[in-house]
Amino acid sequence: MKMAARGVRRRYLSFQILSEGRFKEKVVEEAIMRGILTLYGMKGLSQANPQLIEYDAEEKKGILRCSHTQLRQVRASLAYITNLEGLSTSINVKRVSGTLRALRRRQTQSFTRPTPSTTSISVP
Amino acid sequence: MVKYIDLHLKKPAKSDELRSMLTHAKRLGFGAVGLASSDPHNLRDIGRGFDIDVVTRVDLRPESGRELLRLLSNLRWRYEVVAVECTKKEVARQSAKDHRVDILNFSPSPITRMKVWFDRQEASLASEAGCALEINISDILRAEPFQCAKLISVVRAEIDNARRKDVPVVVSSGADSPMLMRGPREIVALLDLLSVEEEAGREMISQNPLMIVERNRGKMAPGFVAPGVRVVEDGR
Repeated sequence: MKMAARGVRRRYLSFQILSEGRFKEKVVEEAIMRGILTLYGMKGLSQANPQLIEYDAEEKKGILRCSHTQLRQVRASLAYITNLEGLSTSINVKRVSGTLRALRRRQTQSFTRPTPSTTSISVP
Repeated sequence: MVKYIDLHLKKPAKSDELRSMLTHAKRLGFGAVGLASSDPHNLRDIGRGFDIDVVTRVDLRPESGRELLRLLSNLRWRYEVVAVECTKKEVARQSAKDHRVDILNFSPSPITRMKVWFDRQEASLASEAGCALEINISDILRAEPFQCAKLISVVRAEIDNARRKDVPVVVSSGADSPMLMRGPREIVALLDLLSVEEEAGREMISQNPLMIVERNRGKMAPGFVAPGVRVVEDGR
């Protein structure tokens, strides 16, 4: 029986952009690539193999795919971005999943997790 | 459940940004934040309104060892966390020796940092006094790429020195606006640049700051006599 050839496993990250401006998909994609290139170079960029799967310019939300072995590096690169088109910006990763379907399902689910209460720092 | 703490939020330039910073910190997943302010009294009440614990903090920037001692004797027990930004070698040595100092900070400029930094002697002194080394992520985010690379190389050596002498390392955002704040997982991911493993990185943003805050809140609690000794009942 022939086994299906398995490529590198992928991770899908949903992210939210916090900024005053609105940006086109191309701008966001280039910024992410540049971020990875700056921090990890050509080798890192090729290993991460990032691809912007979808992006909503109105909501400033998107989904990025990357190699599972470079997830931490991609996260760091997204955190490293501080401006887009001259405007102060930060990118927060909301959720990570191994499949696109699971990520989208969790995003559309409208359950609210109970928010943890204030840190109970004990005073002896 | 792990509680993440961002122990260094600076007072923002615009006063209305403080509330948005606290909201954003809660949304990012922090259970507590350290707020540097000249007025500690109202901070805890502000934090309660946003369901986030606010730790009062003061950032000292003395010019000499003598000035540091004077500031510490006046301010120490008004704040839960005392941090010293060491811009001179004399100040760095004095701070590292002093038990009243919780956190040591160094200049974000790589040129200054190469002259006054957390070297091995500093680490030995800090280890005996129980001080922690703080790394502000905003220093890395603000620097231009070439400066950033130099800064990262110095900070990496500092973390190495701290680990050799079992000095706790605390990682904070050092943000003065919501745009410079990052979530706990993003901060741990950025520590990859400093060759810090994920598990150790998580400790730097949770257990290490928590230890400092709990220790000092214990000391400031009524009835405190010495570590592990409290007045339970006054027999008079």
